[in-house]
Amino acid sequence: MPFFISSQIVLGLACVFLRGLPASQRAAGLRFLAVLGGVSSVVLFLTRDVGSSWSTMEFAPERSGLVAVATFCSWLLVIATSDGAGARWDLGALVSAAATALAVLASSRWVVPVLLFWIALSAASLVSSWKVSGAHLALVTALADACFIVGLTGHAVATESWDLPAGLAGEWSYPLIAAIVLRAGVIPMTGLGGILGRPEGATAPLLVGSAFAVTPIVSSGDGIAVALPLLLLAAGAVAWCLVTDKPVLSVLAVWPVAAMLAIVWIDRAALGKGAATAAIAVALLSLWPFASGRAQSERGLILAALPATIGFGAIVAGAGASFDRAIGATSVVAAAPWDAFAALLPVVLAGGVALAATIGKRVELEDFRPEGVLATWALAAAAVATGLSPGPGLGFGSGTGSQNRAVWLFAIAILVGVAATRLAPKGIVPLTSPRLAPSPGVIDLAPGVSKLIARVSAGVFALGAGVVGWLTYQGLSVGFL
Amino acid sequence: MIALGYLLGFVEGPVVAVVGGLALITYGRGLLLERLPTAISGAAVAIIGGALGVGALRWEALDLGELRGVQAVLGPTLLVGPTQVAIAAGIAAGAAFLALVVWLCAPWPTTRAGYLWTGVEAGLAALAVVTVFFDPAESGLGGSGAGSVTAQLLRWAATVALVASAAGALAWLLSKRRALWRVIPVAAAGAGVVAGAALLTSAT
Repeated sequence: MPFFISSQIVLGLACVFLRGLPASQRAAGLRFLAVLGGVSSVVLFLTRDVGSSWSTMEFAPERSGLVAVATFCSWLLVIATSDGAGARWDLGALVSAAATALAVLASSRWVVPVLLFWIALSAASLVSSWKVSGAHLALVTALADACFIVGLTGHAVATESWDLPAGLAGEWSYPLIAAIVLRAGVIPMTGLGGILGRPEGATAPLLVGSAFAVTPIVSSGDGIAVALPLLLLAAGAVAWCLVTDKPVLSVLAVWPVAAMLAIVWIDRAALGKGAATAAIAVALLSLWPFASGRAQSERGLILAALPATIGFGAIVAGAGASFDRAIGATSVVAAAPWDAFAALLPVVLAGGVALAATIGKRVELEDFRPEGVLATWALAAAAVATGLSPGPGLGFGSGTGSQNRAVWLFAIAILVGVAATRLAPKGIVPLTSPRLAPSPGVIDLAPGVSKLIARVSAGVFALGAGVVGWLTYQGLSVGFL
Repeated sequence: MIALGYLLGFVEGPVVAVVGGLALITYGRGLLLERLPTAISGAAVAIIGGALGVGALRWEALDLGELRGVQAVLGPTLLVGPTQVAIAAGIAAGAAFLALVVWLCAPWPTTRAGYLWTGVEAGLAALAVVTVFFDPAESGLGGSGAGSVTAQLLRWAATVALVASAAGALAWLLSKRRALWRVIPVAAAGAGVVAGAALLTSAT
């Protein structure tokens, strides 16, 4: 991880130096640096189970995997959405800053660095998106940040400790839960949805990853009271998209993110799988308008969390955890929410499959960039590779039986599936009129409201920075260290 | 292949993996269907998954190996008491069968290869239902004589073939009707799964 953090910082600085170059060199330079960013993420993923610690950071395999996948997705979005003039060179610098922030906050054991880098990630995302579509993101990010600062600072002051809590319950957990839910982007038609489908969406996987990274602070694996409403929200998003037949990105994103967050809330071991699935899904949705009319069945396959993608490993983990809790409960009342979760999970999976099939067979206007299509395929490959990856935290290591045999079975099934697509007779897909790729679908905000949001969110960030400074001073003066 | 790998015991794992395999098939079938039949097909696979879950809940085990093992010792899920539990399992099995009928009826094949492939899919889904609810291996295959093993395997294959053909025949009849007609058996099967789960939970 130290190598990864250093490499991201260097890449960010290099992106800043691109500014003065001619347009064509800037564009080529940005793509080259983005490829290097992706490569450093792959290296982090492959070395995630080395396990080490550095300063106040501890690099658990599932955390490293989470950071690697989210960063890979973000750099892929930079490559796919950058134009021929390299006009958004700043996106490269901001993605590297956000990736560094995610890496530190996902690994830190102390409250102050986590707060500091949580705010830094918010700032990087907002700076990247403010000019175009930032009001929605600013609104939800400011709320999430306020909740996060209140919760974590309140706990630190109450306990007079800088140690990051784990499985926190009680009054300080509520604002933290609210912060995670808001940050993850599970509120439809606002928040994260505002930047999807645009170049600024490059920071979306990192924002989602950051929400997942801090769930262990408040979740000890038995948070059914949070998990069940989240799963219901996912089911609602699927149902809404199926019924209206007019999917929009901000609602579609709710489905995989809320479902994965629900699973992570009841099974801490699924953190890596759930976060990786959510990050890949959000990146895929953000890429959709750049790959309109192409790679549709791949898109559906990943969004539905079908075998052998990483999402399926998370579904299996969630089903196993809820089933075990349901049969282990001592009374009908105690078992009821776990039963409901276990029953709702196949419904969400099947609803997702139906929705994914409608996405997969959409007749769309072919308005795509080759980079967008290639990036979609790369995400599909990443979803399968992480799903089949051996090692802890990610892949089919837990839940789907004997790992080696399962990996072989899934690998053979993929090969047969690919061969079948070449050999099988063509089916007749029902024809519909061509459609445009989905829009973000966020609520329109009046200019006055956007200005107000800008001021409030700036105030929240200033306040947040002040609180972190105050907490640092308090800690040093009282002697938390 | 994924579902078959787990059902035939090449890979040990949970029944959820089989549901995942069925979901993958549903995705492929859904690509050939319009919106309403796709949604109905999705509902059907959710009900099959839920029903298999009720069967697993009866033995308090998600693992396919455990489900086979416990039935090898005590008998098929459907036939082992107490009565209320057996009834609950029976209702869930019936719901799974009904959902299987609906799942199979769209898209109904039109070519010889299509019939063959639908037969394979029907057999696979039937195998999943039979494995959870009516695994006829009385004492496992190990240690038995050749005749006994052959008889058990034949009985097993016959049960799967019977369920698959019955579901296929009903699916053929249902495929002649409009898509809306399929909502009725799906709703009935959904109610069956909920009833089975409630009955099972109250009994244990």
